[in-house]
Order: sequence, then C-alpha cells, then structure tokens
Amino acid sequence: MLLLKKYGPLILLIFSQLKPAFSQDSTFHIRLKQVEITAQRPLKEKGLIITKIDSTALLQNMHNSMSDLLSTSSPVFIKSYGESGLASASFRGTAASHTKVDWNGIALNSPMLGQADFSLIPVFFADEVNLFHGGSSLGNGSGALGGSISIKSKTNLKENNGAYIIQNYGSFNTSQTFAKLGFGNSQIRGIIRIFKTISDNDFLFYNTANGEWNYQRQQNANYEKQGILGDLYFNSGNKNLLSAHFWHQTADRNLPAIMSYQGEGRNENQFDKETRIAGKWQYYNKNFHSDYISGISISHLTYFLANNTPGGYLLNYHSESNTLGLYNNYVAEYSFNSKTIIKASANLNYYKAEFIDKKLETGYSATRTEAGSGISLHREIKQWFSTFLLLRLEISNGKNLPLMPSTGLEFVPFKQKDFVIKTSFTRNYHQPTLNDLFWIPGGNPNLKPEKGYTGDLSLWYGLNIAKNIIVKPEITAYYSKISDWIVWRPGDYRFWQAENIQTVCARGFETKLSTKINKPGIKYSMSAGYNYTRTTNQENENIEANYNKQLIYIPIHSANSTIKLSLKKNFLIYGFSYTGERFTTSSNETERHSLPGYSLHNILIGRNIKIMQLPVEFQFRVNNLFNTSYQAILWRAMPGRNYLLTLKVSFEKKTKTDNFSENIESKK
Amino acid sequence: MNQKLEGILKIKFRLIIKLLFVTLILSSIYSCKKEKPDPIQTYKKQDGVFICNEGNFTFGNATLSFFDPNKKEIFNQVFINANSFPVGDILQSVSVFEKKAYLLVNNSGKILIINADDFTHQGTISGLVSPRYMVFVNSEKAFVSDLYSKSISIINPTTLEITGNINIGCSSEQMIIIDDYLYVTSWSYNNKLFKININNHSITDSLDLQMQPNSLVKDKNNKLWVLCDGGIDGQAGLSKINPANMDIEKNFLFSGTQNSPTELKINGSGDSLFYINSSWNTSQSISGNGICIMSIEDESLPTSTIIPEQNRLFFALGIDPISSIVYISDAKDFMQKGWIFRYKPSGEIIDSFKVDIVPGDFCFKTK
Repeated sequence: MLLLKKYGPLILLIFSQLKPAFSQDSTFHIRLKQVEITAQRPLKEKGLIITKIDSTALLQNMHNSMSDLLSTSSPVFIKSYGESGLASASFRGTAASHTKVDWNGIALNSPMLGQADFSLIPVFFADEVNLFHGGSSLGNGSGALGGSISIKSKTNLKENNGAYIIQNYGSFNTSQTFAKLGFGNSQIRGIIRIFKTISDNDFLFYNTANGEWNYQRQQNANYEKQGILGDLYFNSGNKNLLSAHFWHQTADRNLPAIMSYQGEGRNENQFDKETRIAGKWQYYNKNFHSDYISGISISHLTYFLANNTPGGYLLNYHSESNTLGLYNNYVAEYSFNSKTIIKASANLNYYKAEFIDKKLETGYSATRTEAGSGISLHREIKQWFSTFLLLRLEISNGKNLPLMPSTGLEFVPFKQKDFVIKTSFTRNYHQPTLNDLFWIPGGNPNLKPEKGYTGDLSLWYGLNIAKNIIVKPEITAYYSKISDWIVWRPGDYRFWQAENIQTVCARGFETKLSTKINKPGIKYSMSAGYNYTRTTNQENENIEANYNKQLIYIPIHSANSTIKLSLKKNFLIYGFSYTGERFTTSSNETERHSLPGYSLHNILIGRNIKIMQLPVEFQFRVNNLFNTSYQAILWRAMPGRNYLLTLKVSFEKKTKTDNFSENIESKK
Repeated sequence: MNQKLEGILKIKFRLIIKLLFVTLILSSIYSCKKEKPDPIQTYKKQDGVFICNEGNFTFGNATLSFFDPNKKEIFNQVFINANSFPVGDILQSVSVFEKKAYLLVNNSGKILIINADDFTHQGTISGLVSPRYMVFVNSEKAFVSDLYSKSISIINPTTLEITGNINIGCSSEQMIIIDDYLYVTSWSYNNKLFKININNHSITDSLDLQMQPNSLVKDKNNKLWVLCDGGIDGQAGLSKINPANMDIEKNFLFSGTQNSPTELKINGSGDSLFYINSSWNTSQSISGNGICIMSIEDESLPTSTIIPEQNRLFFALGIDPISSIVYISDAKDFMQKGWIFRYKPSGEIIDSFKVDIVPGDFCFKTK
C-alpha cells in the first residue's frame, strides 16, 4: 500500500493521460480532464519502450481484428491476405515468429508455426493492448526479437451493471453482432462478451491477371467467426484480487485463389477452434506485489484443398494440427523504497503439438517444456536519471539458453520540460518452432536458437503549447542483429529444409506525433506515425545477389495517421495508412517483382442520441474511401470501397460511464 | 480564444462532411474507368528457346523468357510484355505446335496459347485442374497430364476445347507418343508407367517402376527410358523399356536413398542420355552432384558428372535437338532470378545469362 501511496499519484497522473479521449460507453461523449504533463512514469517502466494503444483506437476498431488495429495504430507491419485470410506481423522488420503475443499471460503464437494469426484476435475481446518494442519485451519472456504484444482483460470493480449490443451491417453481405454484459458488485464482477461475424466477402475487383480485363466477383472467400469471452473478478478485500478468464472461438474461412486462377474450381478452407482459460491471482501489500497466472490453451486447425476434377471434387491436401499449451507464471515485485524496485519472475510452460497429414498419413508429434526465470533491478539514481538491469535464464527441453541480459537508462535532462531520453541494450534468443525442428520432410532437430542483439535510443517530448493543447513527438531509432536466423531453403527439388543460415540486420526508426485539443464540447486529436525499416540479409556466403537486400514483404517505408474530431454529439474519424514498396524476391528485383506502395483512407461519421432514455449510437463507415486497387500480397484481390453501418444500444442502471479502461491498480 | 476555436472547428466539421460527400461521388465516377493496357513491347522471333520461369507456388509470378541462340540474346518477361497480363501461378512447361506455343500454368488451372513468333495471346484453355505437360497427336487432338486430377485431359488445339478425359486413377506427369500409343508416367507418390491407345483412349498396359518416375525420353531405337527419383525414402532408378511389350530391358538402380536424379533428356541423335544427379541435401553435398551423361549402350550408370553443380542449384535441363548444346538452369535460392548456363556436350562452358524466378523447363522452337 505504501508503494501505491507513493506511486498512486503518479499512476493516476499516467492514467489521466491514457484515459480515453472519448469515453467508452458513449464512444465520443465528451470527457474533459485537465491533462497535466509529466515525465513521471512507473519506475519499473523506465528505460523501456512501451506503446499503450489508446482506448479510443480500441473502440474505433472494436469490430475489427487485431490486424486492423495494429496496421492503423501502431508501427507493427501487418501482412494480410485480406478479410478471410491469415494476417501475420512484422515488428521492427523481423519475422512473424519474432513477434510474441499473449492474452492474460497465455501465448497466442502457435508453438508449431511460431507466429500468431492476428486476423483471429478480435479487438472486442481486448481491454488493454500494450506493445513492448524490441528488447523491452524481455521482461515478459524471451523470443520476441522484434517485440511483444500483450493483451489484457481489465475491469473497474466500481462500475455499474450494464450491457450493450452492437449490430453492424455492411458491404458484401457482412453482418457483425457484438454484445457485452457487465454485472456484479464491488466484490465480484463478471463480464461476458460474445460476437459473431459472417460475410460473403464476394467483392468485385478488376482482374488484370487473366487477360479478360473485366470486373470479377471474388469467389470462395466467405467466412464466419464467432466467440465468447468471460471474465470473472473477485476482490477478497484483503489485498487479494482473483480473476478467471475464458475465451472460446471458432473461425471457418474459405480461402480464395489468386487472380490468375482459371481452373475448374477449388475449395480451400481453414477451420480454427481455440479455447483458452486463465486464472490470475494478484496480491498487493505495502511494498510487495505479486501476480500469479496459470492457464491452458487448446487449439485445433483443419486445412483442406480440394479441386474440382472430372471425377468430382478430389482432396489434394488435408491436414489437422492440434496443440495444447500449459502456462504458469509468477512475478513478484518488491520496493525497498521509492527509488529501488526488485522484480523476480519464474515461469514453467508445456506444449504438445501434433500435425497429421490426413491424405498422406504422415505427420509428427512433439512436446516442449520451457522453464524460465528472470530478475530485474530498477533504480532511480537521481530524479532525472533512472536505470534498470534485467537478467533472464531459460531452459527448453533440458537445454539451457545462454544468459539473456537487458539494460537501459532513462534521462530527463530538463527540469521543467517533459523531455525524456531512453536507451537500452538487450541480448535475446528465439527458439526454433516445432515445425522447424520436426516437420517431415525438412525439419531439422539440430537447429540452434536464433540469437538477437538489439539496442535502441528514444526521445519523447510532451509539450503543452497552449491551455488544452498537447503536442507529443516521439522518435526511436533501433539496431538489431540477428544471427542463426532460420530459413527454409531448398535442399533439393520439392524438399526444403530448415537451417540456421542467415544473419539479418534490422534497423530503422519509429516516429510518432500526437496532438490533442480538449475543450468543452469539442475534442480533436491527431496521431501520426512514420516508420523506416531496413531489414537486410547480411549473409553472402552462397548467394551474392541477396547480400544487403531487404527481406521480402517488409516495406521500407510505412505510415499511418488518425484524426478524430468530436463536436457535441457528432464525431468523425479519419484514418490513413501507407504501405511502401515491398519486394517479393530475395534479390530485390524491381521489374514486376516488387509491389508498389499504396495508401488507404477510411472515414467514419457518427452521432450519439437518446431514444427512450437509452443511449444509442449510429456510425457510418467507408473503408478504402478512394477505391484504391492494390495488392498487399502478390496477385491477391482486395476489396475496393466498402461501407459499414453500425447501431449501438446501451442499457445501464445509471448513466455513469462504463469505464473498462481504468486500471485495477489505480483504485488500490 | 476558446470560443474562436470552437467556432472554427464547427465550421470545419460541416465543411469536412460536405467535402466528404463530394469526394465520394467524384471518386466513384473516376474509379469506374478501366481499360485494357497496350502491350509494352512487340516481338518477332524465329528460332529459339522458350524458358519457363515457374515462379513461386501461390505467388503468381511465373514468367516466360525467350533465348535467341543465333544472336545470343535473352528476352525476359516476353509474355507480360506482349500481353500486359501475367502468366499466372507456376509455369510448368511449354509445348510448341504449328506456330503456336502452349503455356501450361499449373496452379492457375489453365493453358495460355500464344503466337510462337510474336508471343501475343491467342486464347486460353481454362477449367483444368493442375496441368503439367502437353503432347500433340494432330491439330484436333492433344493430351494434357495433370498433377491433382486422376484424369488426363483431351484437348482440341484448334477449338481450344476440352473434349474429354482419360481416367487413369492417379496423377499423371510426363508423356510421349510412339506410334498409336501414349506413354504416361505417374510421378507424385506413385511408381506407374501407363500405355494408352490414342484412338480409343483405353489403357492397354501399365508397369511398376521405382518410386516417382519423373521423366521419360525415347531413344533412336524407339525405346523408352524412364527416370525415377525414388521419392523421399526410396531408391532411384533408370529403366529402359520396350514400348511394344512393356518389357524392362535394362534397370539401373542408384545407390542409397540420398540420390534424387531428375530431368532425363536425350540429344537430337537419340543416343546420349543426360540427367541431373543430386542428393537430398545440398548442405551435405555428396560428390557427383551435377549433370551426368550416359550412352544408351552403357551397361552401368555414370560414376561422375560432366558438369559439376558446384555452388549452384541445378533445377532444369534441356538439350538442343539440333546442336546438342546443354542448357542448365540454376534456381539459386528459389526466391530470386535464376541463371541459365550453356555447355557443349563435352562439358565445356559456352555462356550464361540471367532469366527469371525458378527457371524450370526449356522448349526448343525450330522453324
């Protein structure tokens, strides 16, 4: 409690900054608070680069998947096959498996592929999304050479009981239903969220790939996703908070063929089923705070491809992947005084994976046990100078990984100014995935973990240029060298093998500028980011043409921006994203082997009204406003301009705000 | 100041909404216009070699190259240059028949037909499953093998129609016509050679070979030679077959299971066999990776290569039927433009040039 007494005001200050610009239930209802600029942040976060996704961005993307949220509101690049396909992330120019994602402490990365499919994470199920850039992720676990994304459930126990329902209807016969119910009292609180999304996704596109030069309707791209999330919180009143979280979801997606396909017809489908359960116990005492998480995740994936042949549909490929993950994580934090914190963590995870090729009757099954521990010391040496040192050790299937250290400094050079300089240096390791090790054929059980060194330097500035007007520029430069990078390369025709061959250098910078104007009746905010990412292959032993060339599908330039304006009961959000040129060959050929950059614009207008005392919100959204035709992936058709209409009705006991974004810590 | 700002923003908000609708309307009008683009380049080529750059599976980045051996000139991306649209996904093979070239686009389920001299698109045979190779009987009949179908398609090259199917119960790969019979290998996870009557389309005979017969040729004595790669864990083999009675006259087995020979080709005079010998694993390269040559009279497999692979990844092989010049492709890491190396039959290098992604087949076009 002492800790909280000491840090409480700081935490509150921080949260007053993070609080939604537009509060949660009536999305853009005006909530004004004199925002004070302060350089103070929790000591344990000093020196780390963490992006906390604005809760208005969460709201604005509530009907979307995490892939849309990240590509519009973060520096993470998302490679997406479209609404019904896979979406994988590249954080700071690294591979998809180098971005770790967890939900309440449970890994969402597949232990087989190493990557997470961001199109299967609904933003609706997230109360808080934090990005840990580069080495800043090591405190949460190893392996995130690019960075990690942490998704959490949060509640405010003082909240009113209430519910809301959202119905969306849009182009391509898309229907989305979301419902959320919160109930309980200040001791026990339950929240249930359910969603169902169904779409024909049969958009028109101009086919430039088959010589017919006509508009064509996308085939075999329909999808259906549904899920339920339950959170139960219990405040025992004696410094203990217990919670349980349950997530079950299915996604049935047909996968379309590429634009040049003119065959007799094919049916390609992926079905995902996931169940995740997490239990959390948080304990708060004077100088001591601990968190224990135990969880289980079960996932099942079926994929098949059948072609229409003269003898009827013939199955060409049919596979099934099943994984089980068990997670245990304990974190304890002790504050000696306001200037020194020591943090220790231990985790024990177990994975079982099974892959079955149902047609060839082959496959593999493997298990992995990982144990890890970390200890970190965070110290404020002077008011303007703080530092941390973290050491992490891990054992995987009985093999020790070398020590992973991370250290960082944070300066506040000017007394009266909110100007922060941060720098950190980290060594991290990423374990090969189970497919890399055991896939038949080509899996290589002798693979070494990938080794990453990363360093960054970051400047943050917060400026109150006038009363109620805040401007915040940020810039971070990073440099990472990853050796023993695992690549599947041809050992012979039609037989590829995983090998530790590549050395990759990823460097670049992330910039962000945000401004906010808060006035009675008016709210304006703008945030814009630009990222420069150079991720190059530094291996020239065999193939010179690849040396110092950008890895495929990672844009050198990318940018995004969101402008929000709310005026009394009306609001407008304008989103823009730019994805630069991407190469599709390892030697960065330009002539027809690179994809040109493209910009996408989206706009949303809405209004809050009351119908029979009930808060009702209308929204009209236009995606791809300028009907840009573009390819995110070679020859994959993407939808042109499309529309979505939203109706949201809230039911509440009182008209108090339903603020889920309040951190549980802030009320302690 | 506050009120002023509020006023400005109010006006701006209304303005934005108005502008938005104007933009919407304008952009809908603007975006309706789409036209067929003009060709980027025109060609007029006589003798030469078509080189299929397969591209990467599901990337749709296959291209066609053309090499003029007289002028020693290479023309890349000739299809898209002449027609403004791409070949598609995996250009498996090209066959030339009566001044037309037939491009078999495996994972696009189609065959693109072009004028063999100027490469302009003449038509498309769509509705196939997974076409691999094409052989012609006459201008009314051709056969197309298929990886993911149990049937061979019968095509009319004049009308570009699929006129029928021959169900062989498994996938089909390379084909040769000798007299009235079509000889077809079934490569994918199979070990069969079929003999099919080209008139009544009945399967008259079949033969079990080593696993995965990937290529076949006919020698000067009209004998068939079939090369099997052995699959993942089987033994590779080369068989000489008498097509008349389907007797195996010679059968050579490759030692161990690590050998995976492919791309059996024969010179113009029909007496020397060429193939690529390679092991499963380039990082543990066994000696002997490269191009092997053997006479049809030899009683054993060659023990060394005439053109060693070295740091390259030999992927496709072609022998000029007139000059017997050896064309070899290097697919590099499969993710960049490959190279073609030309050698004299003696193994002496002539020249090399860059083509496109994964050069996988050669088709020699003569006047």
